[in-house]
Amino acid sequence: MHDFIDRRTLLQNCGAGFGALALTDILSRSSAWAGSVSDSGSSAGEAASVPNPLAAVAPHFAARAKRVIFLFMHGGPSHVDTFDYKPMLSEYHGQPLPFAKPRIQFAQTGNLLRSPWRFRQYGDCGAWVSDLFPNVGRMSDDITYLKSIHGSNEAHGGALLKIHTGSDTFVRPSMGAWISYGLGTENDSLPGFVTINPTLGHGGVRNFGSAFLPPVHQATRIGSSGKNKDKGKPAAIQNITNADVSAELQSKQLELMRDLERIKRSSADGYSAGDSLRAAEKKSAGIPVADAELNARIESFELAFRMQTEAPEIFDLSKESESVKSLYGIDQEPTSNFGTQCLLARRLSESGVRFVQVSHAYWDQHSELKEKHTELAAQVDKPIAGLLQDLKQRGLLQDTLLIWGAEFGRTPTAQGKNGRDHNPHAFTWWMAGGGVKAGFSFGESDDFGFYAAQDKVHVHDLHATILHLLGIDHERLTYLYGGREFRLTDVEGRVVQQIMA
Amino acid sequence: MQVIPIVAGSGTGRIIWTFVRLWKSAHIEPIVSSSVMQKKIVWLPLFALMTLCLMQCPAFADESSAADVAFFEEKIRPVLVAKCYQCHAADSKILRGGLQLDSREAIRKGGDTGPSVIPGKPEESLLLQAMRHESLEMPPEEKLPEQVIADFELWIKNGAVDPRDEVRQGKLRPVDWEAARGHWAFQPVADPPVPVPKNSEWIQSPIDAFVLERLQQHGFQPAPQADRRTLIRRATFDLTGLAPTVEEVEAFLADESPDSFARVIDRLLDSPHYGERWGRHWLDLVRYADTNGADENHKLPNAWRYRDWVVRMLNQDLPLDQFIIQQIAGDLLTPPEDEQKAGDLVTATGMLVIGPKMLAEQDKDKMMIDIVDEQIDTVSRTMLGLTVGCARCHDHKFDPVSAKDYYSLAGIFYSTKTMADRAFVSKWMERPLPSKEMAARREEHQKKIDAAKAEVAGLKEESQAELLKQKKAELEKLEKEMPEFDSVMAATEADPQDLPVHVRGNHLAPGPEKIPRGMPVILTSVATAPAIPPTVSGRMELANWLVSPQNPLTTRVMANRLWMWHFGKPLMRSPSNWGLQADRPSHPELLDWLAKELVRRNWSLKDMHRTIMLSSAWQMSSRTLIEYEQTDPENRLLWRQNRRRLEAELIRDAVLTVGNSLDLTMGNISENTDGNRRAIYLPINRSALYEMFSTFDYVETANHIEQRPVTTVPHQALFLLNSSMVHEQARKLAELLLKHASAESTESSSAEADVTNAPENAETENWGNRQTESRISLAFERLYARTPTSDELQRSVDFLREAEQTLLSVENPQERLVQTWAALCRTLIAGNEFVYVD
Repeated sequence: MHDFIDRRTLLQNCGAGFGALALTDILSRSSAWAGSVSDSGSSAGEAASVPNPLAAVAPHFAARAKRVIFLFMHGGPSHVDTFDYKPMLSEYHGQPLPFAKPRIQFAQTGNLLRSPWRFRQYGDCGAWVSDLFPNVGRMSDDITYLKSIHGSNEAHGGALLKIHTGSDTFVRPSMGAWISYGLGTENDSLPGFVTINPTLGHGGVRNFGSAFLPPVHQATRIGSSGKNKDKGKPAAIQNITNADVSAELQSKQLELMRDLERIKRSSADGYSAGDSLRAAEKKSAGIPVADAELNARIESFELAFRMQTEAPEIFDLSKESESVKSLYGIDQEPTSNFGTQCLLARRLSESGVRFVQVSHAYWDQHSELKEKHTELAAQVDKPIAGLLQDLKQRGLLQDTLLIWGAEFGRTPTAQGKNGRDHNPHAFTWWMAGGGVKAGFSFGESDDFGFYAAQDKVHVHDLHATILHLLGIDHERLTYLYGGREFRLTDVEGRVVQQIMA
Repeated sequence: MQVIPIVAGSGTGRIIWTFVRLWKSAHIEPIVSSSVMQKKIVWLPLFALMTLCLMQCPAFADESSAADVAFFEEKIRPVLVAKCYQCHAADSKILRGGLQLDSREAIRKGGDTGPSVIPGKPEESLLLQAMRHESLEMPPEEKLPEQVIADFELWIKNGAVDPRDEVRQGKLRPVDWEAARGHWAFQPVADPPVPVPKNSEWIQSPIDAFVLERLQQHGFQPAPQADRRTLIRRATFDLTGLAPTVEEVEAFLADESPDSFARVIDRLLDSPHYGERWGRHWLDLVRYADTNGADENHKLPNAWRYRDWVVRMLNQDLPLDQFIIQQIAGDLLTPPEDEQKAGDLVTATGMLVIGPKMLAEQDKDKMMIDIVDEQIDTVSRTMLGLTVGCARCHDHKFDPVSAKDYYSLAGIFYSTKTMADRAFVSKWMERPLPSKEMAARREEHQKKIDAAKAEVAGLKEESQAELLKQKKAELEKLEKEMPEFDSVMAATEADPQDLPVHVRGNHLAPGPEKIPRGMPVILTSVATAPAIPPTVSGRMELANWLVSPQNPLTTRVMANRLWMWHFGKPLMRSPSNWGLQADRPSHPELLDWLAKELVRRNWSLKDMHRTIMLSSAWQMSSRTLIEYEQTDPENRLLWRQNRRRLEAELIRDAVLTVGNSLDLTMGNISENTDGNRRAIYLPINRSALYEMFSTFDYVETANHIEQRPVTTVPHQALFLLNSSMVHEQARKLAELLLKHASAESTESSSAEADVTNAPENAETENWGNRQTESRISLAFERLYARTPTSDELQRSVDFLREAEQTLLSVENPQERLVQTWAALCRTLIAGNEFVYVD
């Protein structure tokens, strides 16, 4: 735990503009690459030991999960048409809601609307799942359903920010950034937080940003939804390679960089008149702290060089077997696209990225619920079930937390003839692996699914619980900014102990 | 020990007291861990004990109250302990809602939302309402069984008898206001005498006297002056954000007059690019952006007019006090005759409007108060260096800023209109810029419309249908073509009103009294708060008060920021938080001297730049000294200048300068981030920030930035190694180098003249010649503002040779040459020296 505090202090110092964030320690650990470049650049190698801001950090207590994959269904799929079975809805179809609607509503809704889908029971646990998600339904014995989630914002933007950052009022770091800050990355040549295909609306980068946390914890964005110029491009980290430069030439460049830096430091003429200073410096041993930042920068180029060889390999799905691709539905439509993203998520997660988010849009059916939900679910059901199965087969599920959720659910009452409005008062998420119970359901909404009713779980509680599964005490993961300590859960958050395996 | 009668008029205090003592001695109250069921078992013997007690004291017997106590012990206390104390007791980890339920006094006093239990009045008791889920929902996990709720109802109805008369103090210590009044930052700015240290030849400015005195106290010597190349590079980046050109460096080196550096500074201060550089600093403070971000990322199509105003005003050296006043209340100043100037006063208030807003928040009252909050946060941190925003939900935890202070400021902004409407997706305020010319054009156009209308009116539906249709279409077209005033994002006055404290920051829970608009009380004993007439918002009063010479914070805060932007580190470490948690400045007297000097210089920033940059302190070398580092690793004593990494925008502009691609056109906004305009003109999209910016630590676009962080991450390296921008510029520089040296060799007509032409037969270039060295030298001059050393030359030549070997597959020798040089240029761009200022 001592480690943790030291690193935190360091990062705060960095935030205040001083203190070097060197990457030296990871590089010293990864001698494979260090040996392949010039070893003449001893100056950088001997840099003052300043910890890497992304180095893995010990959790507060034993972690049940080491990493998270978050499948985010942007727009708000209807819980009462997917995982929260409400037989009363059919019974009372067309009748008014027998209790009051909330004070603030996004749109006006009318009477109760039955679900157009049939629900079936799955597995030993007997979970009721609608025909929108038969494949996920069949995995129910590996899943904990949380059916009493509630948030506080009825518009997409606010609700997305609430889900992702814990605040729909202030600018706060995102959950992935907090986790990256709290735990670091498991892989030196990959970022700690990757978001695949995120939305740039409804809060945009704030949903995966670092706010006042050091920027290194913001998500690395891969592709983005709704950006035409990214369509059809293979997913990749920005600037990860340049086709015009050979690795050989680039490694020569790095050697030159190192050497020029060394020459400059030892140079006797040219750039500084500080003779007395230089003389004194020569007499003394060691690398000045003031230069550690410069050394770190040189090292970061070598790390980058390593990233550009390793990262593309992770992004190269061609090495996966046909059966795996088929498991994710990559070999067919309409699952190919989301299946690819899920498989990439697994590969990133497997390689040590701490938090991977995959987003799917756009589940906002104010009308045409039946048509659009059918279409959207068909794109994701198989890939999601495939991901879950794949994680399980590989033994990854035991320490990988898979989360499925959205910014809110939808009203059991009808909007227009055939739609449902936003509903932050009750919605369903589910989790699998990473230390949560298998074949379990927690919490309930009311008879119609309008309000969370029993064992309510607020968005803050979700955050507290996710951190807990990762071995982080949400009340102790803090960051000093603007005069006070901040947390992902602000002053809220209760860990839902009941779902722990 | 005093006994407090519990049930009014019953005279049974003593007996209950006796019971309580007995009870206490027999039982230590367990917290939370056990369930209600288990508790019952524990309490049963107690009940018996109490009964015994009552039997032994027949004189005091009052069966009904004894039964009440028993009822409390059996039905009420166990529930409170098991279900409430976790969050509502003195030893709760976090006390929620300011509510303790662990003593009689506390439960009746209640928390932020008022009394929790009113004896005899269950319907008015918040505790019961919360348990019934009528107002709040408590406990939050699930509703308690109906029977338990009925017990509480009965208990309150029967007088809420409660034997717990030990008031338990929570952990939270309130801010000591008396002590806070003595906080150094709240004292009037002193006018410290300039010290007279030994070794006075180092002293060029009073600044140096303060710095030197402190150094000597610690046995330190100041670093020698930086060499002239370093000085001009540092000065040019400092004041314009651009690298000096080779010609500018040469001219300065050639100028041997004693005031040569002062003239460089004057030249730079006169450069229009000065406003771009210092304007960007200011924009960080006031969270400038070109889109809303937040929930609905609408374009703010006129935000740039405010940004341009900032740049222009800094170039004009508008005194800083006026600069601040105009941004808060420019619209309330008497507009001058000059249209542009009158428009400027309105444009200035864009500062209040450009923040992020939850435009689609459907609770419009919440949206409004959130916007006010955002304005308070920006203004208080930027101008006062106080985190007033922390007092929205409760009194500030560390600083003497009360929730009342917050709402007294909130009233001012609430009485200011920055939103045009409360529509489903709401729209911010924009105001037209005054223009007589446009007014005249509009008047002319209106005449045409009126004429067309008259014509339409004169036509008859039946007989002239075709003509009528045509004329109507013409009218419609005319109406659409009405020329519009240019608009700016700007504020105006709303209906002045005071706000109540919003309990826990909840706008649905207003406190009982309205808080008069005004300034934070802790500061008003030093800087008297002006009275705010009931007919105005109070913005003008606030603005004037902020810059009043008595205000202890504004000038200190600004002087500290100026120092930070010139030295890379501030004198006081947390430049936007001067509250009780703030460290003392490293040089308190120097800070106060600078603050006073700012006022003495009529708030002229340009004068302050001169004062600072002509000091020996600013001109010191940034070279480090390991012996000093061991004592003062952070250079708090200022024994050297600080080496600084360029900000994202400067790195980008510098890269574009490499190949002469930077477009120095000023004003307005660049279409997208691909353009070659200076970085300050690129659109700042809060929801999709230009990745190059966020990679280099310009991340925060929605909040006040007190200081840019500096991180070193591989993504920055990837940008410099692989981005098309760097590749293009490096290639352009390579071509330029090749051309330049050709020209030179033609002039000199030396024997080496033809080396740039591809050798007919040779597979590779002959690198060992003076021309290669002259090209390398030029590259160093352009990128680093210096010439290379012989070692650097030699190593660079070696690199060229090696690089060429990796490029042998490029068949065209000229192309291969360009690529080889481009590789060298890229490496120099990636080098530390390119992105650091020594």
